[in-house]
Amino acid sequence: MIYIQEEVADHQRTHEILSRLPDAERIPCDDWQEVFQRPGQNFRLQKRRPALILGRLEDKLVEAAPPGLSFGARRNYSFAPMLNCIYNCSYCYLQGRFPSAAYVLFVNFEDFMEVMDDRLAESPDEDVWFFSGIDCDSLAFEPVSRMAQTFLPFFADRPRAFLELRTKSAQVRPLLSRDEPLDNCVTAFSLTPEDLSRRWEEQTPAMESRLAAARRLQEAGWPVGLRFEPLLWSEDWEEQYEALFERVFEVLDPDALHSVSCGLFRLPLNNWKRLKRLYPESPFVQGPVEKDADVVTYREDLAAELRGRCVEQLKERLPEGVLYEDAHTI
Amino acid sequence: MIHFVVSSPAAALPVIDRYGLEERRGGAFPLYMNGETSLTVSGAGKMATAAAAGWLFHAAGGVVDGAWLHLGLAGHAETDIGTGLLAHKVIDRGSGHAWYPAIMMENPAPSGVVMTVDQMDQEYDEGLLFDTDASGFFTATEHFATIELVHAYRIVADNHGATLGDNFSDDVVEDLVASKVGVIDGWVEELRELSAVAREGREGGAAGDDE
Repeated sequence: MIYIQEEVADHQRTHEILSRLPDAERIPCDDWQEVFQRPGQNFRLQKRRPALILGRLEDKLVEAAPPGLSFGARRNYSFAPMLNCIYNCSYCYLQGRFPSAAYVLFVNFEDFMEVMDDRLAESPDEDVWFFSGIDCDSLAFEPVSRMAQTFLPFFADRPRAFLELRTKSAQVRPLLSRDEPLDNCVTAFSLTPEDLSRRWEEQTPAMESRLAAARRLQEAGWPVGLRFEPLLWSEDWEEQYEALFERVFEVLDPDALHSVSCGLFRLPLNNWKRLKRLYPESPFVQGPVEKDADVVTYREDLAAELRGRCVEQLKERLPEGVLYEDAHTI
Repeated sequence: MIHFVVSSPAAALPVIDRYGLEERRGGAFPLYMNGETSLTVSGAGKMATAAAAGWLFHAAGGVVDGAWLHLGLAGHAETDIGTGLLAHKVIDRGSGHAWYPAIMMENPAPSGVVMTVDQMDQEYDEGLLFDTDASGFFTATEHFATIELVHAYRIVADNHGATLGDNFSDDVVEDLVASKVGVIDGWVEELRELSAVAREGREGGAAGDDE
């Protein structure tokens, strides 16, 4: 089911998206928020058959990135042409972040670009980073949205503007189909041990597919990042992560990586409470977590061990300056 | 748990038969029940429908996040008589208020916009279903269940080219609804399951929120 905000019904991008989903029922609405923010919704039920909403975002198109999200630059921004994710990761802060599980796609990409130009103009002598994978997966919906395909030419013309595409998908065709790689576009793959991924990252591509996609990009000269976020605890986490790191650095060249980050599972307390309401049986609710005033994360002893061992293993395998410890996207 | 609200006794009969519902006498509205299935007959009009839905909620145990289905007839400018449509949007013409039920069923029927009016006048705007009840149903049930669990299903009984007119007898109404019981039956199990998941989450997740 696709809800279409009247204002974008005749937008060229709306027509293109609809042509890719010819069988979906189309429902006009006055405003995307009228559907997305309607009262009395159950996120968990909607996750079974999420609707798509096509709309126009007017405000807050490009915002300051969360404080922990930086790879050395002073100017870091996030932008979200899409809200919600097609995957269903049990630990994700998007679980219940919004009242609806519908995917909202803002078709006014050009308005985002205009604000990005404003941000670049505000810092004429600096690199400026734009992160797109906070409120959605940057590439997973690409076959429908063509978001990356549309934004890449913008970044190609602005070498001072850096784009991070953060993803659990293997949708790298829009990048590989370009003649030349872009030094200012980092595709950052979120990686989790295969067994834990099968348990807690519902509907995501297998780890090998993500690695294969990362390798194709690396071989074609594109900057690739790795995100071990969140680090997840399980009874056998040590073997799981050791096997993952071994496999990752068999497939990818560590010396050619743009950046690697890791950070423990943690959720702002309010997000965790929403997760608890939606999935009271979740291991991220029932498991060895503890709350403080603002955040829920693993028990201190487990957290120290998990983090310490993973950082140690990554440092053994990576060149200096590539690893960003204690990364917190949210 | 599923609750049916229908506007007339004739429309209720096929559902009562299908689910083996038994009459419980003595309430403000007619009540039929069998285990986790209940039905009431509201009479026509949005006020009556809202009152009946509110009454059924309490009569059937007052459990939040049960599933709700409103069955009724509607007029439509060009759709064939006997066509069934789920409401994906309900507008109350008087207030302008709109509801967007979230359709989660695997095999939903084709859907449409229902415009609830105070009086049917057979001047149907293109593309809309017209009835006198749906907005009352949603006004009441939005307090009892989330929007994935509340649906209105309309069977077209009137259009610009043809009207049941004088043939609008109880038998015809019963036949129209009976012809759709198979379709409705397909949703009932799904809605029961969704309701169970929603209630489980509500019960489990509510505990210790302020710990």
